[in-house]
Amino acid sequence: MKKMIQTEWWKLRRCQILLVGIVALALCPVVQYGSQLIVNPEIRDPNFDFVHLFANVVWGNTQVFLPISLVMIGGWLIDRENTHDTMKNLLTVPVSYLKLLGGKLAVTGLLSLLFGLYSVAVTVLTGTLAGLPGLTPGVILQQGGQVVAAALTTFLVCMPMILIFGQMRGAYLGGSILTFFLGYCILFFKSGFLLSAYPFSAALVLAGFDMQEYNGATEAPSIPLALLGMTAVIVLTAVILAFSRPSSKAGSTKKKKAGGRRQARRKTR
Amino acid sequence: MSDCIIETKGLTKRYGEQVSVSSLDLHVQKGRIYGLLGRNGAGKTTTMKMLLGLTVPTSGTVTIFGRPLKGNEKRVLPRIGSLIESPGFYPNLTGTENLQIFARLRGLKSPNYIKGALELVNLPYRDKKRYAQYSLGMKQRLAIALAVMHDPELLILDEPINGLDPIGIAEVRDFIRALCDERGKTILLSSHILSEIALLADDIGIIDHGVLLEEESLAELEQKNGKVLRFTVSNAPVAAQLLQQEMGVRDVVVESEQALTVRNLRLDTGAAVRRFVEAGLVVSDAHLYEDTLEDYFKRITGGEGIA
Repeated sequence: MKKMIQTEWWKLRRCQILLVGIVALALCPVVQYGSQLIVNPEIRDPNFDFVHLFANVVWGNTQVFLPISLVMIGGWLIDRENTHDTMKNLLTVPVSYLKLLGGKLAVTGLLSLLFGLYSVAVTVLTGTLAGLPGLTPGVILQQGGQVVAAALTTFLVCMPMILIFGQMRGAYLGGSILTFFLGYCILFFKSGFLLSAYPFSAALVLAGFDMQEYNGATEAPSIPLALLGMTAVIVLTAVILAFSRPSSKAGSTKKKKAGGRRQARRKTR
Repeated sequence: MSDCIIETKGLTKRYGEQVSVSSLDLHVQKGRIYGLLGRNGAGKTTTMKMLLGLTVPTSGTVTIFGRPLKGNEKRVLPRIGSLIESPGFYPNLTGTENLQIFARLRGLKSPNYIKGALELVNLPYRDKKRYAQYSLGMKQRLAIALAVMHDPELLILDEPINGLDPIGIAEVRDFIRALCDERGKTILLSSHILSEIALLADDIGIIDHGVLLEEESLAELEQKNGKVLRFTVSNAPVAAQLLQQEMGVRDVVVESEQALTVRNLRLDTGAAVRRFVEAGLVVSDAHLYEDTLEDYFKRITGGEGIA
């Protein structure tokens, strides 16, 4: 497995798709702080400080930016083995398909950790440039830790989507859009079972995010229900992994040929 | 056949109603180059994919190195180097970086494996050029480097000269021959280019519409190739009558008013010409023709030729 993770990491060299995560997570604190500026002065929070900015970043990352980025990147990592026709080379090493997918998930998880750390840095930078008060080592450690923890739990929630859409040729983009909608749905669960057990809510609850303070939850979330939601996601991931098989088109260049025809058509226009 | 490295029995692949490969009994012997010859779509690639476990056969068995492939993939596949269809690599990485990935997965620690493989195919080691910027020929060379990097005992190469320029083709041909002759590798290669197979292979399998029509050594095939004596005379029907009635020759075919062919090669050509002249015929040509491998291919596939 170590070999798988190491080689998956090497494959990321010069990959432009990583820019999706880098740009998205840089946008998050800017958008969150910007949204504070554009609301009416009467409802603007006069005590908006680093703690608030970090909380908004945790929320924004889990609701929008990380689901899009992680499913797109993770899905692409799986999809590329078919589109770049490298699956045949891997399977004839031979590499276990299960381990290959596991390696890709592990690397996406590692990326989520790095994105979390990067998000902390960008948040500190944005808050500092905006002149927000309340930046202390304790805030960075506690709130920053929550950003990183939420990135990891959000990754766990995204795993089934990465596996499903990564294995459907060219569907990772659609998968990331669908995951964005699923993430956005946290907004609608303010109480009851789904407040805690809905996987994206569970990701926030387990990261220690205050759902009542920042999500407008009308009751305190339940940790056991959040754990149940997260366990369900992990079980689903394991089931998908167990039933995953390499595409029967491993070694097929049909897609490339189609591209060639498209190019030929373009040339003739 | 004894000493078989690859042996298949009744290997069949169906896609729905369509039969891609039908009851294939293939025998690749140790230390020899086996050329699988067939038109595009004849079933060569499907066969090779089944030999590598990339495609699951509908029925039949594959035995490689004396073991059934199914259930022994981890023992068998590391001893094989392969190139199936077009080369497949990560476009964002250089050639060396691409090979590093597969070397790591194969547990090859020394960089000499990569260096040696790249040198063999005349590609630079640690070059900064990314795979996406490679020409088709360079891509093909890199794929060959990947196939030989781990010093496998058996090479399965599907159309290895695709995309190469004439010099590259000659180089790869020499390289494949040397792998077999000098390093004792067993090589199964496929091609739709008959001349390439004829130049390289020791044994030839002819596949058409998924059926293996012939499997013989090149020497045996050459022996089987028909030899025909062709005469151009002033009156072919009269000449044919002379051959049949006076010289007892049976296989005479009158092709036109002036041309006839004889398949009986025990015929004394000089005596036949002398008899024609004595009978007042003008003999303008007497020539021995040998069927080419292409003629043979046409004859056994019962149809068109091949590239």
